[in-house]
Amino acid sequence: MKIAVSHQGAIAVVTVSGRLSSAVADSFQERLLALLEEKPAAVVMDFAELSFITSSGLRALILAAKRGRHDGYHIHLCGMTENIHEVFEVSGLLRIFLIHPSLEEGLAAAS
Amino acid sequence: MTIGGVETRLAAIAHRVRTVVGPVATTIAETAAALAAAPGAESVANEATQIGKAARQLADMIDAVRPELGPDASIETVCSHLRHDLRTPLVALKGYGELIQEIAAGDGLDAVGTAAGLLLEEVAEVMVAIERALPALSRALTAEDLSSEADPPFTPHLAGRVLVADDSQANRDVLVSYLTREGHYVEAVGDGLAAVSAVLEQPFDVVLLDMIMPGMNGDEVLKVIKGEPRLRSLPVIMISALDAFDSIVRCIEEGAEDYLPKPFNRVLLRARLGACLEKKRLREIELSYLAAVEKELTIARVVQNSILPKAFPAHHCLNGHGLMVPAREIGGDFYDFFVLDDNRIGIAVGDVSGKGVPAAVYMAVVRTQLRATALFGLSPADCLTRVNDHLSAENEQGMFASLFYGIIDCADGTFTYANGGHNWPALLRADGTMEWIKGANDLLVGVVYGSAYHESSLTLAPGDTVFVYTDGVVEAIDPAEAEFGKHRLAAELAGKAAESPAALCDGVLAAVRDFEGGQPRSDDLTCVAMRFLGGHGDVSRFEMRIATEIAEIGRLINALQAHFSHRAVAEEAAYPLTMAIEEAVINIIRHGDGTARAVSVRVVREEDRLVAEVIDDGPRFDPTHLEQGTANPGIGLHLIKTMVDGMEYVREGEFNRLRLVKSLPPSRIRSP
Repeated sequence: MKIAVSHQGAIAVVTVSGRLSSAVADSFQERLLALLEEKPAAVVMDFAELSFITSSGLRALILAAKRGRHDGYHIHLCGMTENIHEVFEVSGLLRIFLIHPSLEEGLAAAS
Repeated sequence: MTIGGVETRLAAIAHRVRTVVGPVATTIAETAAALAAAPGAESVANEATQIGKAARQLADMIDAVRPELGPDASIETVCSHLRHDLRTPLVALKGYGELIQEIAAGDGLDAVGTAAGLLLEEVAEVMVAIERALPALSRALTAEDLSSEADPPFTPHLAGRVLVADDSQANRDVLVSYLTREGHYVEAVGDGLAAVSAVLEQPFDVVLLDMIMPGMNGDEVLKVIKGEPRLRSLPVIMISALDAFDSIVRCIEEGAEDYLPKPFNRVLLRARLGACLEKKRLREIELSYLAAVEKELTIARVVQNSILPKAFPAHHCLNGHGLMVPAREIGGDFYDFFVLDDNRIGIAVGDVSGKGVPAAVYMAVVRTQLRATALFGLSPADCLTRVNDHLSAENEQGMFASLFYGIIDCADGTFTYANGGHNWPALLRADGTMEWIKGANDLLVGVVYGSAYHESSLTLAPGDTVFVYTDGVVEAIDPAEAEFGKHRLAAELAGKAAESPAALCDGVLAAVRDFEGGQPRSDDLTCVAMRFLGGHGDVSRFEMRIATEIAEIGRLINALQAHFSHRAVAEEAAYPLTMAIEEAVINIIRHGDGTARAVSVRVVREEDRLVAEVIDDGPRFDPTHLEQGTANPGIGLHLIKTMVDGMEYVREGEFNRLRLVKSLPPSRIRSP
């Protein structure tokens, strides 16, 4: 798994690629929650290169969504492959995030 | 030992200092001179002078070295003093050398800096040379010390069982007498073969093994010991002359704990043996601690397994099976079966985020919540809504679970379910075709308070099987990191409609294990299969037996309501009859003498009316013939009379049988 973080103004852009497995979920969660400490205007996550996500990875995202709800911003998930989309669909999580087909659309919506 | 012998040894020490340390010290003097002459050295003139002085002091000390044995001194103290004296000029060399290096770097004096760097390297070499010439453990090299005639100071130590293997009788005698005096139990053997049979026959804490022995050498014995799983952790100390340094290194690589140079020194022997025994003791403590932790986890696993249902409830319309294999000792998956009434059975499968102990604890919470709600007879969607609210109200840790809960109604095969973020279960039709049970995709439970859960239903034909599983099945990975996936699960199930639910579960587990190719399991794995064998066809019939407890009434009423609503019984008839039944049951529970153990409620539909029977095993009680004015029971019975169109009481053997009749409204009795 690789995580890259950049900023577009007050928007935090997080690119996650590879397998978000149980083994790396803790470091992903740590990284993500540290980023939220900065209270971004929105978090846009690019999942185009994400091939697998485990329930521990979902947990990190759920914590981020809760934090966002509390601090007043949204988590945007962009470019999910069909497999990843199905995981979110099955978990009923599509409704707690804003979902976009591509990073560009996600950024446009977040701005 | 003679005085002459001591003098010879002192001379040998002086010789070693001159030959080993001398040449490096000479190089230092040369480098110091070169430093003083280097271009730019005038800026560090003072420091360079000090360095020159220290270098001369070192050279003079080495030239003049004449170690002497004072009245109370030993060879070791002589060496120790010598080491100390020789190091004194080194402190000055190192200190001024580093200072010059710093000044040179700041002022750009390259030549001076280089010379200072060289000087510091040489100082390090002198340190090493001194250690080589006068090792700190020189007692080991100096045979028996004069002062060791006296007993070494007493230090508390561990006594152990020691095996000594040495072909020299003299060496064995020395070691046995040393070790016995230290309080050890000692066994001595004279060759390698005897050593091997000794360690195989009786337990030892440590083995002292001579390197060179007739027949079987020490290193061969070592190989045997380290190759035997039962003996692998037995520490071995090699005994060897110091010139066999290569063989010592080889033995240590092969697993020897330490070595002991010949001839023996008591202090060293005691130290090395003590270290071995201490290490062994710590290892034993560690092992016992590990064993205790494992035992607790094993108990936790037994506890966890014991809260999973032992078997699928016996039912003539259903056949089912469940299995859960945790990835670690304990896991976060669970399944459960609930007997809601005679017709309806609930099945639940859950998967808590994470693994191990935290997941197992949360799993127990989720399961308890679900059980408390489900047994109350609530619909799947209501159950999940309540469980979710309970779980997400206090959830700082962000724990959550996926939870699937479905209820099968055996009267007609209706399967009603709600899905809190769980994998779509599989539906294996009687003809062998496979489909996914989609719909009702709601959020994982424990995430958002107040989240709504929905219900879907499907109709099972006789022979159809519902297969519910967790991530451990579809997310299992093979050595190449490919996922098992839904497609492999579908392929595994398809066409197996004739196999028993237990065989289906076992088959999927075996397929996943095979796929993983012996890799460690990545997740807990659960499979639950439930097959509908065919309804009893009598959709008009309701039958349920409850214990005579107030808490049971809720379950009964929920079941009755589900029955009436499912069969589209008109509210005008269903509502009052339900109320009348509730009153009758409350009467039995609250006003009986406590001897009634169970109440059975049956409802059948007869043409234009519903006929309910409430049967209990308490003492004779005829509610239709009560005197006016009797306290509370009278009010309840009055209510019953108002609600129904007919009421009859019969005492049959040991049972009270109350029959309640309620007419159906005209619109409902038109038959097709």
